[in-house]
Amino acid sequence: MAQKDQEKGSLRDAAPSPPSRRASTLRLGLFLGLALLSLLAMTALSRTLPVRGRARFDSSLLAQIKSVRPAFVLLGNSMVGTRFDEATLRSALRTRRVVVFGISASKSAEWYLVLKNMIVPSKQHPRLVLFYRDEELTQPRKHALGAAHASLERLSPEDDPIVEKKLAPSLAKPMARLAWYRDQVMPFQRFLAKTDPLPDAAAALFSRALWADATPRARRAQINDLFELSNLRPADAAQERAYQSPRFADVVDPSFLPDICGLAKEHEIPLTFVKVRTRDAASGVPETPSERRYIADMARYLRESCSAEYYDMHDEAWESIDLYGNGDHIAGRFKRAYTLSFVEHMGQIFH
Amino acid sequence: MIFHSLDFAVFLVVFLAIYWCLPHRAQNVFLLVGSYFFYGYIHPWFLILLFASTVGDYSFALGMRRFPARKRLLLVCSLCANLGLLSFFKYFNFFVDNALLLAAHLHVALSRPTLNIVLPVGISFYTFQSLSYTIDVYRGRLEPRRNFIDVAAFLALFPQLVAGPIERATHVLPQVERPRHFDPEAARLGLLLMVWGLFKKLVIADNVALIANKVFSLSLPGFALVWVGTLAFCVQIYADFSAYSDIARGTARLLGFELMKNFDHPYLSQTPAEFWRRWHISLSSWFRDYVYIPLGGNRGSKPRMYFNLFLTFLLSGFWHGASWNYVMWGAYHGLLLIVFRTLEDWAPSVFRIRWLGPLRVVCMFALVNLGWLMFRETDIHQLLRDLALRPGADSPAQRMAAGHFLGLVVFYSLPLLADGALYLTRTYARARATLSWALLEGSAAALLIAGMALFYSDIPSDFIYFQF
Repeated sequence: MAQKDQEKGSLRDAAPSPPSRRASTLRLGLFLGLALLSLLAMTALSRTLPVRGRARFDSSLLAQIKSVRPAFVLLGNSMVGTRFDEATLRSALRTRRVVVFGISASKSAEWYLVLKNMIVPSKQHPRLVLFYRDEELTQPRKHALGAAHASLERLSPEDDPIVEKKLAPSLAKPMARLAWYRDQVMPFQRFLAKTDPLPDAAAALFSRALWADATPRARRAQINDLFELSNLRPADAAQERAYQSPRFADVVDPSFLPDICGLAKEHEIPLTFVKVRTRDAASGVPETPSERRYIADMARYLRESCSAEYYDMHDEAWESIDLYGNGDHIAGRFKRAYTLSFVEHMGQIFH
Repeated sequence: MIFHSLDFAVFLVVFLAIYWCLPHRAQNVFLLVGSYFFYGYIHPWFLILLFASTVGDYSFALGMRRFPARKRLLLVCSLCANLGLLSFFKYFNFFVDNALLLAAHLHVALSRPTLNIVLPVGISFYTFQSLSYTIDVYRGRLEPRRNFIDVAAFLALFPQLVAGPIERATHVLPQVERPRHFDPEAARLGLLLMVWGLFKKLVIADNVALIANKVFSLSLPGFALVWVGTLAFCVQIYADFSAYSDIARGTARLLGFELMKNFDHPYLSQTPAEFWRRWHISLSSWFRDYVYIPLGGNRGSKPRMYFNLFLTFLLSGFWHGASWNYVMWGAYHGLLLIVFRTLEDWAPSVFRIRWLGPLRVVCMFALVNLGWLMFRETDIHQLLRDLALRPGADSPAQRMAAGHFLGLVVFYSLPLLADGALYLTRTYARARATLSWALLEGSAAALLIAGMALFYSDIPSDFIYFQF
C-alpha cells in the first residue's frame, strides 16, 4: 500500500519538470504575485482593526500617599501582595504611616513609574522598600510589552519617554529592531483577539458535551484552577542548575535600576531593596555560581552606586517551606503571621 | 539560525541574490561559507566540531583509496571519531548518571565529575550524514572526493544541517558537483513547500504544543487528560518535524538541490513497517542500510531477523535522546514490528481485506500514540503512573479540561486532515505544470499565508528535533 501511495506522488513533491522556461517563469510570477497579494491584503486588513485603547491613568496610589503621608512604602508585585497584611503591619510597627503596594505581576518598569508619578509628586519622602525576586530588577522588558503594557499606562498620564526608550528593542540589535518595525507595519497580533473565539468555540463544543451544565466562564475558571501552581510538577532541578545568570555589568544599564536610583537621590527618597526568599531557597536548592556572582555584583551596586540599603532573604531560615502557597507566594492563611515574623526578624528595615 | 525567524528570511534573500550570480565553483564556496554562517550564527564555537568532523571524514575517505589494505582500519577510525563525538556530547551525562546510580546500588561511593556539556545543535544529524559518506566509500559505492569544498558543502548544506533530512553522499554530492541553474519551476514548488511548512509550524505545531506542554506539566493528570495531551503531542511532533523537513526541502530547491522526502502521511499507515516507511524516512532508511542490513537483515533465521530488528529500533530510540524513555520507545516499536510480522505470517488475510483498511489505520494510530506517550514522558516514574491510569476515575474538572483541549486539538488539526484527504483522493497525483495548477497552488499559498496571519501562535517554540 505504501509503495502504491508513494507512486501517487504529491503536488508539493512532484519532481520539477523542465518545460518552456518562459511558462515556468510565468507560473513562478503568478505564485509570487498571489502570495504577495495575500500578505498585502492581510496587512491592510490588520491595519483597519482598532489598536487597543490606552488604559486610563489611575492616580489612586498618589491620593493614598498624600492622605497617609507614609514613612514607609512597601512596593513590589505579588511577592508583596501575598506576604504583607497592611493592617497587621501597621499595628506591629505601631504607626499608621505605612502603605503596601503589591501590584500583581508588576515589574521594574511599574516600580519606576510608581516612584516617578506617585511618590515624587506627593512631596513626601518615605523610605521606599522595594521587594523583588531573582533577576526582576534587571529584566526591563519582561511582562511589560503587548497586553501587559496596559499596567504601565495606568501608572503614567502619558507614555513615559524613559520607559518607552528602554522597552524598545536595542539599536545594537538590528534584527530585533527590524522585527519591531515589521510588527508595526504588519500588526497581525491585532487579529488574534478577533480569531481567538474560533478555536475556543471548537473547544466549547467538546467540553460542553462532557459538562453540559457549566457556563463558559465556569468552565474556564475550572480549567484555570486545575493548572494552579500547586498542581504542577516541581521544576526540573537539572534545568535550574543549567541556568546561567547574566553578568550584572551587562544588564544594569538597560534596566530601570539607574533611573530608580537617580530619581530617588534627586528627590531625597531613601531606598531599600529586599531580595525575597524563594521556594527553591526554602527547599535548600543552592544558588549557582553565576547566580552568586550576579547577586554579589548587584548588592555592591545598590550599596555603593545607588546609596541604598540591601537585604537578601535567601538565608532567612524562619521563612520555612511550610509557609509557601503557590510557587513563591506565601499561603493566604499565613499572611498575617508572616507579616509579624517579618517585622520581628527584619525589623531593622523599618528603623 | 531558525527557519521561522526574520533573521533567516533576511539571510535567505541576501544569500539567494548573491548565490545565483556566481559561477558554479564559486557557488559551492559561497554555499559552504553561508552554511557555516547559518550554523554558527548563535554558537560560533559549534563550528569547530562540524569542521573537525568534516576534515576527519574527508581524510579517512581519501585514505581508503590511497591505502586500500587499511580500509577497514580507516572506517573504524571514522566510526570511532564520529560516534565518540556524539557519545561525549550527547550521552556523557547519561552514562555518568547511570554509572553513579549503579555504583550507589552496589554501595560504592563515587563523586560526580562536574562537566557542563552543552549539546551542539544538529550533531546527531550531521555525524550520521558524515558517517554515510565514509561507509559508502568503504563499501565502494562512492568514489572518495578530492575536492574538500564539495565534501564540506555537502556535509554542511544549511537547509538540512540542523535537523535533516539525513542525506546520503550518493544522492547529494553529485548535485553539489553538477552546475546548478535557477529553475523557476523548482523555485515555485520549493516556495510552496516552505509556506506549507511554516504554516504547519506556526499555526498547528506551536498551538497544540501549548496544550501538550500544559497537560504534561501537571503532576497528577487523569486518564482523559493524559491521552488528550498525548494526542496533542502526536499532532505537534508530526506538524513540527515535517514542517522542518518541508522548509528544508523547499529551501534546498531554491538553491537548486533536491533533498529526499522525510515524511509521507505517516498517520495513514496500517502497520508498523509501513509507519516506518513514512515517518522520518531518512533516519529509518539510514538505520536499515547501515545497521539492520549489516547485522544480517532478514537473511538469517526468523529469531535472528527479529533480534536484528529489535536491536536496530533500540539503537534508533537511543539516537533520539540520552534518556531511558527513548530507549523504551525504540524497544516498543521494535516489539510492535516483530508482533506484526508474526501476525502477518500467521494470518496474512487479515492484512489483505480492503474494507478493514480504515480500522487498521485507527489501530495503528492508537499504537503510535502509545509510543508517543513514552516519548513525551521523560520521567520513567511518571510514565509508569500514566500507563497505570484507568478511565472513569477522573474528576469532572479534569474530564471537562480534556474535552476543552480535545476541541482545540481537533480545530488545529483540520488542515492536516484536509491534507490527508487530498492525498487519499489522489488530488496531488493529478498536479501538472500548467497555468491553472499554478493558479491553484498560488491560491493555496495565499490561503496558508492568510491562515498564518490569523491563527499563528504568539508563544513560539523551537523545533522539537533541535534537542536531538
